[in-house]
Amino acid sequence: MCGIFGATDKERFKTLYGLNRERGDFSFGCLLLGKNKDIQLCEAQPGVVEVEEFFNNDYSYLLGHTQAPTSSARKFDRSTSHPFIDGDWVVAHNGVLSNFEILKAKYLPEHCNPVDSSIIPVLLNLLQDQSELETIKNVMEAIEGTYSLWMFNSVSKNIYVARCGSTLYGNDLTCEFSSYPDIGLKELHDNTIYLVTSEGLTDVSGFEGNSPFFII
Amino acid sequence: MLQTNNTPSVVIPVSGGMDSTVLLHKASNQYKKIHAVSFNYNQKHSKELDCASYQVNLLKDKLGSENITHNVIDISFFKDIAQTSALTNNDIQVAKARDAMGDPQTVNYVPFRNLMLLSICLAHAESLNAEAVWHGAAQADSIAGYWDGSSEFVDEINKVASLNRRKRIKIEAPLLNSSKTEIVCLGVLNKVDFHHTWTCYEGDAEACGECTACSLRLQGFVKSGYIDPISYKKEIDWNSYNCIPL
Repeated sequence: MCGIFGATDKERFKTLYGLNRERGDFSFGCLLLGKNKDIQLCEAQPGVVEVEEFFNNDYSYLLGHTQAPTSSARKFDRSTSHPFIDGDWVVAHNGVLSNFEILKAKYLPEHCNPVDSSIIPVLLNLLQDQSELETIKNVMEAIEGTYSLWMFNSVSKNIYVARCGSTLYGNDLTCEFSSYPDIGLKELHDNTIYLVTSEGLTDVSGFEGNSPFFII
Repeated sequence: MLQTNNTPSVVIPVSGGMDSTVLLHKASNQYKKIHAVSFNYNQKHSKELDCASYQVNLLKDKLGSENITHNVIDISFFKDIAQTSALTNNDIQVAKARDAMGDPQTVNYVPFRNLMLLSICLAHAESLNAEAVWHGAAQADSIAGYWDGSSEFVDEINKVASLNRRKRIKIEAPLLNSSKTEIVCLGVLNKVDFHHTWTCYEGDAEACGECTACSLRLQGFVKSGYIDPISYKKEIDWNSYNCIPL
């Protein structure tokens, strides 16, 4: 399993990266949104953010992912590392999609990426609805498992996070979120989609999650 | 009638939990001879072993008592080795699903337990000239953070077993792609007495309802529309999920 995190500040991003390495230290991925609307995307092996030159811009938001391989793919390969891109969507995901094979057979028989998460941005394009939010809801309800994820749309520049079962903490004031808990971060609601802006984390929709866990 | 050694037989590790119990009953439809094996590794929830014995005894009528055996193998030394697990170390609290979800490997994981247990099962199967070992790993095992319950683990251990020069026994995991809901339904189909199965990692009189194992079991019952017949410490409002008694 993996960790996802996001922050508006470079130093906090580094801190959250350090914490989320507990959840997976096989590879690191990020999407850095520049204040000039430019986008820096990276899939790398651990340690890259320690290189000062890595951050070469002023950022409005920094999104990250730490990966622990849950499949036999133990050799670093950008194609099997988060974030995954399809069309306008960029997605990083933490968790296991238990119906990955079923979804592939139903929608994408030729999808060959072995990482289950890779199917999510493809589904976001495939299950498009009248609004971005409805589209996300369709996908969240199509996938089964315990997960949290961030999604970025390169056209609208909107960032969303959602969780179903898996841990995800956030701070409405600092606009941060993280799979790994930290001081000031509170657990985000389950089966809920949040819009992440510089104003905070806004609960924008609920969805019917399909977690294998029953929580009392 | 006594079966000869040529009667196809299978070795099944039966913990007394839901998955291995359903598997045991499924096997009784396919095999005329079953060698059930349970392990006492000084687990907190050793009451599962009573459930395993109960379930094996139920099948004696169906298969004939000479055609189903049950060995409870004592590997209680393992408790002293596997000190990092909440299941064997009383100083570590069992991880609740609420806290553990998304954890790549919770404290409920017992170091290399399945590799050891399956190795013993393979040795048992080879000695008994059994055809296969049926392993109760299910889809949820990987989701719950057990690498040694994954399909890759089963594939790899089978590669090792295939190096055997005389008897190549295969580990089969018929439930590996089955959800808990599907396992409950399969159990209902096979008339499994779920009341005498024990899943909870705590060793208390009632199931906690909150550990990862209880949480997966409960979801399986809720989604299949049946009331779990065992009692839980926390009240479950089965009516609100439209669940019916088994």
